[in-house]
Amino acid sequence: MAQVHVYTSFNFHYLAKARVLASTLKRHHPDWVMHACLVDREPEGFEFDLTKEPFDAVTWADDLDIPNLQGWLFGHGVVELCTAVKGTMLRMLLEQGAEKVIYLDPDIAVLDTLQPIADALDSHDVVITPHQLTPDDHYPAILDNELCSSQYGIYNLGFVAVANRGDGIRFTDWWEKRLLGWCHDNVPGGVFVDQKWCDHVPGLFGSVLVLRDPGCNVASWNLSQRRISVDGQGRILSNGEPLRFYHFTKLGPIGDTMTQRYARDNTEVYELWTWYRHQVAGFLDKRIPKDWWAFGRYADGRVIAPEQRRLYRSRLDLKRVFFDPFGHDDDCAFVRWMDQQAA
Amino acid sequence: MTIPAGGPSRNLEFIRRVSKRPTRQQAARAAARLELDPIGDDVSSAPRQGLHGCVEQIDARGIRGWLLDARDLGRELELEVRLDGVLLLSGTARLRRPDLAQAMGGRVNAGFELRWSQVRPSEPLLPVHEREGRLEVLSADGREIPMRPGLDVTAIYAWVEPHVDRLSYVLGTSQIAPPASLSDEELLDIYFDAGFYLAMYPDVASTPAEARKHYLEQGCRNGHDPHPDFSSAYYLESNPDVRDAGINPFIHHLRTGCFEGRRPRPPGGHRADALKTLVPLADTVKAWRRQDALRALTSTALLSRLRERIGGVRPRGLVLSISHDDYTTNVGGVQLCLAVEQKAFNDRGYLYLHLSPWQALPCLHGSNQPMNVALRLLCNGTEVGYTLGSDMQHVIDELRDDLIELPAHLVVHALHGHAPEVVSALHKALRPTSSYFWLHDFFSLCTGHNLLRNQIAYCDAPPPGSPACNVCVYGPARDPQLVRMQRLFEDVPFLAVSPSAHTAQLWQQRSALPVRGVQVHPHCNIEVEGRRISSTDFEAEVAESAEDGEAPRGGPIRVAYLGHPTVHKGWPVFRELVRQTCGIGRYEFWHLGTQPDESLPVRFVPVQVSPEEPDAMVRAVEAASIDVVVQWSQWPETFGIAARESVAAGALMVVSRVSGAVAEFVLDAQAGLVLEHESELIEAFRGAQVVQRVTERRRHGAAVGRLAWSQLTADLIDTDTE
Repeated sequence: MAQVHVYTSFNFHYLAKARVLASTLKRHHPDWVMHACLVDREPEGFEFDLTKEPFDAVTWADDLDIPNLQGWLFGHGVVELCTAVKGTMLRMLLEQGAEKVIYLDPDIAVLDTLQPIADALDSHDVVITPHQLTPDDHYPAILDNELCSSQYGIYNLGFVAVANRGDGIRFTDWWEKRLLGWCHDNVPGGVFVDQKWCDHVPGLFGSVLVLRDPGCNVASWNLSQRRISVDGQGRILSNGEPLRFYHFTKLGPIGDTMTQRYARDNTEVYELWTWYRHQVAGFLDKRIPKDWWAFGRYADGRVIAPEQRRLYRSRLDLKRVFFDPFGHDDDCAFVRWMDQQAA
Repeated sequence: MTIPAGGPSRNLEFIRRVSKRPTRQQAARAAARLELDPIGDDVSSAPRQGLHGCVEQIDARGIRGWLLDARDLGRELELEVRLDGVLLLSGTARLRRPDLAQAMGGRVNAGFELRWSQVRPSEPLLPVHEREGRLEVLSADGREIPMRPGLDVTAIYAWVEPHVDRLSYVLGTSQIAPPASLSDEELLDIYFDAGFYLAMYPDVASTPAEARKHYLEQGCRNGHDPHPDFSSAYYLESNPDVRDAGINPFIHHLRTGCFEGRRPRPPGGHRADALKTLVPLADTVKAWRRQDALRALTSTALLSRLRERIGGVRPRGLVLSISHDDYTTNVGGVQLCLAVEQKAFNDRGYLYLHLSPWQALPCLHGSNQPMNVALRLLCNGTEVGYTLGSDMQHVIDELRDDLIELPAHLVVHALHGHAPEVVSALHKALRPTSSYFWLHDFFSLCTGHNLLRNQIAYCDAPPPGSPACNVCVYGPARDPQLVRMQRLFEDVPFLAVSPSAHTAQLWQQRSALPVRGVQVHPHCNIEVEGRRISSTDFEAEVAESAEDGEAPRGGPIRVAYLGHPTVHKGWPVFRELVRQTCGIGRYEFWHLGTQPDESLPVRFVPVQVSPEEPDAMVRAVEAASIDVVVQWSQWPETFGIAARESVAAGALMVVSRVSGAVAEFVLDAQAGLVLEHESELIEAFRGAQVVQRVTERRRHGAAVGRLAWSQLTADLIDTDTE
């Protein structure tokens, strides 16, 4: 049987959640290979010990096969960067020989077998899930869900599955190129990181399955149309189908508000959130400082502002002069240059 | 009745399904299948067969007419009224019609009169621009009852709308905004529930006008609610913009909030509330850990104390009973059972030893060093001392040698905090004649002994390792617990004893544990001693006035909750019932038990049942003249002492279908109502169902009695043939 590789990308802020993803995946698929793409570096006092983690392999952002890597990393904020690496990581896994690759966001938990998805890759090269499978009928829901998808992307790229052939390879090649150049948070400009690009996928590629399974990628943006229930055999169902994976976006007050707004009296949803909260708390590593992100500061400790990143990435001349805008190798030359500009 | 383990399964239907009316489509299909004729309105013409009926009058008050089956005049037919497809009313045609009796040549009870004031639509009325003005009066099989020619129903919406509970639409679902021209006072006039406000906050106002004024000026800031379906405090907390702007939350919700999806109450009700404070099992265990030091005796010291306690009197037999706490100092059903059992054995001259864990736990004692579990030993109800499991084994072994020729029995009532390995060892040391395992709860199926997933949702004990178990706080503990239980049951030839047939059946269906049999042995029965007669004389009109929703003769109906206010016994549901119906003016709510809730208009009477006063609750319920006891248990209770106490005191029971042995008892004894959903419960109190039953009881008097207790295991040892 073809070996399935699963990968996720995150920084240490999301480590606890990624551990929940990995451990829940392993419960159902102990033989699938779980990769972590860590878009971060270890903080002082913490060593990422793979032998103690539910992951099988780790690829660090610093090890990605991308030209002018440091400059490229610098040009992205945290959400942009964690999504931008997905294309390259996918390509690297296919080149290593993985026959089937599934990407899952770190804030997803696997609740039942994903075998049907792996099986779908026998007949389709690319599998994606739309945010919504059913039209909404109430005005606030239409705004929150359908209109939001129109802006942020019809398909939710917290999940994508790719087979190592034909359109799977072509999709990977195309996606990586777009993400290397345009993985930006610019909704008014028609770009939302990696996700909005994928509105193109059913048009550009033939062997694509738009997975219409209400048990996959359940989240607050489609809860208005999905009812979670538990049957007498202990199966968790979404609109009667097995609930395979749930996307716990925005764990905290905002997520709670959106969940409550659409889950309403479906208390099974609140059970899932309570369970998830407990799981994340159990995996929390206190050795990681709260706001840690290795790519969030210059070498001198100053916080990198979003407009500085945008400036850098839009200027070819700056990219040619400052190969390491973070300043580790050139004594913060870029930030000193900006100080001069400001003066 | 002994059901041999592994014997032929019996399909015992304990709970009758509450019968449901067919949907309109089902009825229409049924009619089509039978090819029924349309309902004729003229009974004077022959041949007369099938259904006949006529809607004679529709006006602001209601709708009147008649409907009969010419082949069976005694049959009372059901009908429903729909407006644009929305079910408004349903009823039964059974009023006397002397005019028709002449034409039909027999007594005819075929008249119906349904009032708009009874309207409870199943869904919202259509918005104005979508209305069709389609009024249908239909028989149960979906056929239209003809209308008398000349009936004018153009004003139908004006007649119906004032009675429609608009608020349930507006609150979170409606898409029609009230006119902007309505002032705040006018809005409150329509939507504010004065009856509810005056009942909930009796000290702040005495008239509806005062209540509205109070709410507008102060109440909303003090967390007072204007309607049972609206929480001012929740709305302000979840909408900081409204709070910061100082706007009245109710007015805001009515004008704009509900159209923006802002919820009027915390969604998910009491279950979602309970989840907020749910912690992983490991955290609960940590919180229960005692900080004081254990003063454990050596086995020699404990044995010597025990021998001293026994003294020179030679017992007739020996019982070693095991439960989760000290039944002599803690209050509860299981504790009461143990006290009764101890006395029964003592009366027979038996020595009754009891073990409970020094460290109380919501789960088994850890499997790392099971023999180290610290146990408290009681002898005939008095404390002897504490020691570790391994030492206790030695004590029992030595004692058994002292009393080797006597019969001995091992009785396990509860295992929370115990190590099953120690129980196996004690069984070996005791060498009992027989061993018993009581099913007071479902701890032998799961650490979650009420079978409530995440302490809120009845789970029906699914297969271990199921996805539901994986997201339950008890999930991680369940698998290892079942392994240890299996070993215990393989070591000890238990007779499983269930206090009810329902529990016996459920346990046998869900459990793979080997037992030598399953026996049903109820804790107590009711011995009827007389009837509770009301002092007022009643006449037939009382039943009819009850249908209108007016308060029955004899004063408000007294509705009670018994015992400790816990989630699994349905306290939050009782709270909601109080909230939803206190404004009607028909009911008086009581709480007999412990831990009063000051925030509700509920009269509290402290009651504690103890071995010295086992009838304390029965007497309290009788003394308070309680008419109805609501026990909306969330899990299948294994017996239901409170239910029997209520019925012994002459009260009507209203219980949930999922309440297990309680529902079984209520159905078997015809002691009340078994309802499926919480919405049905509220409806039974809002509508006529409860009023009718109580009125009947008050008229005829309810049977009262006392509880006659069994002797628990003491009854079984004579008949047990191990």
